[in-house]
Amino acid sequence: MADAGVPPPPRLTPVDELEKLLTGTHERIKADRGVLAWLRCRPTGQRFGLVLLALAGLMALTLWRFQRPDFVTYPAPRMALTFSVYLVALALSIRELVRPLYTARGRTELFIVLTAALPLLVAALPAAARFEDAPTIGHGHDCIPVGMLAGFLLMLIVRAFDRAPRVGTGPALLLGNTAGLFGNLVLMLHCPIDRPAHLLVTHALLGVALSALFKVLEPVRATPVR
Amino acid sequence: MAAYLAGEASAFDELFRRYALPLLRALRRRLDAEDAHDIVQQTFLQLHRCRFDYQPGAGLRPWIYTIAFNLQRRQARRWHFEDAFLEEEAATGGGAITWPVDGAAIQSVRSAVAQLPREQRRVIALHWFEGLPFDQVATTVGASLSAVKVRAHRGYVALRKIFERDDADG
Repeated sequence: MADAGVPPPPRLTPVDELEKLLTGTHERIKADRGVLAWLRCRPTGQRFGLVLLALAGLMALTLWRFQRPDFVTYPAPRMALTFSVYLVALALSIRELVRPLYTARGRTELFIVLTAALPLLVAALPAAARFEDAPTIGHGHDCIPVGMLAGFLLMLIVRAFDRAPRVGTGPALLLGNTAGLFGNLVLMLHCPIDRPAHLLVTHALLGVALSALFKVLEPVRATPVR
Repeated sequence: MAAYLAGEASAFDELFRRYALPLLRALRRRLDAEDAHDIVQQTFLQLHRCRFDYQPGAGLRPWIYTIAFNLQRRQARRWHFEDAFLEEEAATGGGAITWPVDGAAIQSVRSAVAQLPREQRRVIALHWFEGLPFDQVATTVGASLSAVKVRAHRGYVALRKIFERDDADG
């Protein structure tokens, strides 16, 4: 009853509503500054190239500082073939992940399957013949943290270049699997253990672990830009 | 958009005033005001971020609609933006066509279109109601030009059958 004398707030006309929205949009654009905003505003070709460049840097670092002890003697054709297949799948998936929002839906599901299946397929191959005793070689014990770290860095890099405020379920799964694939790629350069059981239980499951990690972390990052 | 890229800040306001209202109306059909405002603003923020991807001469409407579709999808809405857009167009007569018919006829068209499969409905919403040429519809829905034409043809044939059936039923 106390409010009986208070007139209701004036109803906005569509034009007023639109002008208010425009002002809000300008504020969002003004707030969208800094290094991340600059990266996200780059043309799509540049964003894709910069992500690949960053990943190439990480692989070079692995080769330089954390190279597997049997790298020189490992069968080169097998290494080259596996590496090439991983690289192509990685490039295709990253292209999909940094796809601009003005393009229609891509082939997210196909790439989810591809990135999940490739490490399993490679793990299921027979071990490289000369290295069946590989578990005794060098620093194989730390492969999970190294793979997780590599994958996590990929997720950070891709999200730094991704313009979308939120990641839906499909792209989140693809991001996790792509990070897992990159972890596998780095581990090919780092981990000398070549046994299928080890590859299946550790390397191939990186994608699952990284998808779960992303699921846990994403709500923190995904607060809409207001 | 070319003027905005050339540094003319007021060109953005013009784009906003031209494209934001139909988007907002469609969103308000399924969302509360706050969420609808959020998506409209996100859409134009994304347009700003994408500005260096723009190729002069390319249609801007498909960009804006597709950004809104994708934002809605990424925000895991349980409804489909194109349906809301279609309803809005049918209800208000917005877009490229004029409606020389009364409210009952509009309702009948809306009901008929709603019976079409989703892919056909989406193509017809963009082509017929919004007046986008087929190549821009193809860009927006992510299909080939021929696939879009086939969907539209099948959709219009199905619509004709629905109207004939309704007429026969009296």
